[in-house]
Amino acid sequence: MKLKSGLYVNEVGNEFVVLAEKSSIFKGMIRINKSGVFLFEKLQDGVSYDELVNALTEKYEVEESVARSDLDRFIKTFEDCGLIEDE
Amino acid sequence: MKTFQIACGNLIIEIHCIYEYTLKKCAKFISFGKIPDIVIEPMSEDYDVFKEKFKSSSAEYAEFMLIFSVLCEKVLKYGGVVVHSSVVAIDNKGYAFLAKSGVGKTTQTLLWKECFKDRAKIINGDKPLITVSDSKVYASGTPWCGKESFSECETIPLNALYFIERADENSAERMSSGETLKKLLNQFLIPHSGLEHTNKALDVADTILKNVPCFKLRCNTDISAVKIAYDIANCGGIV
Repeated sequence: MKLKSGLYVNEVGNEFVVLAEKSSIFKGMIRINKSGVFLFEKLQDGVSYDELVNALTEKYEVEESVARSDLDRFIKTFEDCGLIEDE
Repeated sequence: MKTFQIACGNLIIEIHCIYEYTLKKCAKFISFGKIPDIVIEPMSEDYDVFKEKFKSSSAEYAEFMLIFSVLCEKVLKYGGVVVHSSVVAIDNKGYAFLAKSGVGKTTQTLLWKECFKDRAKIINGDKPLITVSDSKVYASGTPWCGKESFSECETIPLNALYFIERADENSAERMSSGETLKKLLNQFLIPHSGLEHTNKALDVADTILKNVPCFKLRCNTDISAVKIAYDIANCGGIV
């Protein structure tokens, strides 16, 4: 699983927004939190779903069910915006 | 063609326009003999676009708004953003009210003027220029100031920001940075395209979020709303 290229994170106040380098990729902004930045960076390089679940549970010391639920929400947001690369 | 300079914040802006209307609206801001930071000389094709956009208004008003749209783009380079808001200064400290049109920015501004009397000055009633410099945030009057024409050719430091919502009872609370960011960006008047523009605007938003306390102000039209808003920003200061 990989994010489309041309996306980057801009820090604004204590928030993080995802933007695209060109409006042809994406016109809006997606606000994410710090753990979202962690996921974003991994997805930029390409990573499997299970690898992401493991990375979240390890880094944030949360239960797998919590990690899956947060991850699913995160991925859905980016999928709905057309920002996950087709495999 | 008329050519003149105005001062907005610490920027000198040279304007080229066809109609007298813009010159008259800029009267309070006229400046002379300085080297301009920004030159606004709209192209004829832009005139056509704006005449169509404002076809229910006059050609001179369309030109006034065309010049405004160019200004909104050009100030970004100088760490400035035009923000849809009303700004009142009390003892030379600025308080900005943000909301969509019709919610109550002007009402609250006038209540503050009524409450604080000579201590209050309305810096701009509709589209002030917000600039940042060394982690400080400033609000400046502009000629684009709404139908009441409240504006001063002045710049003051911004002390607090209120996002207004209409309510039966008055209350105020500090907002989270997440909620503030979205509401703040909704009131930024920036060009629709250009990553560079967006990044510059986000830099301004970043400085605001880090340095200016932002509050949600639920309020009615009673003057008691003023004390609630002022106090939360000044920790129980004297109204």
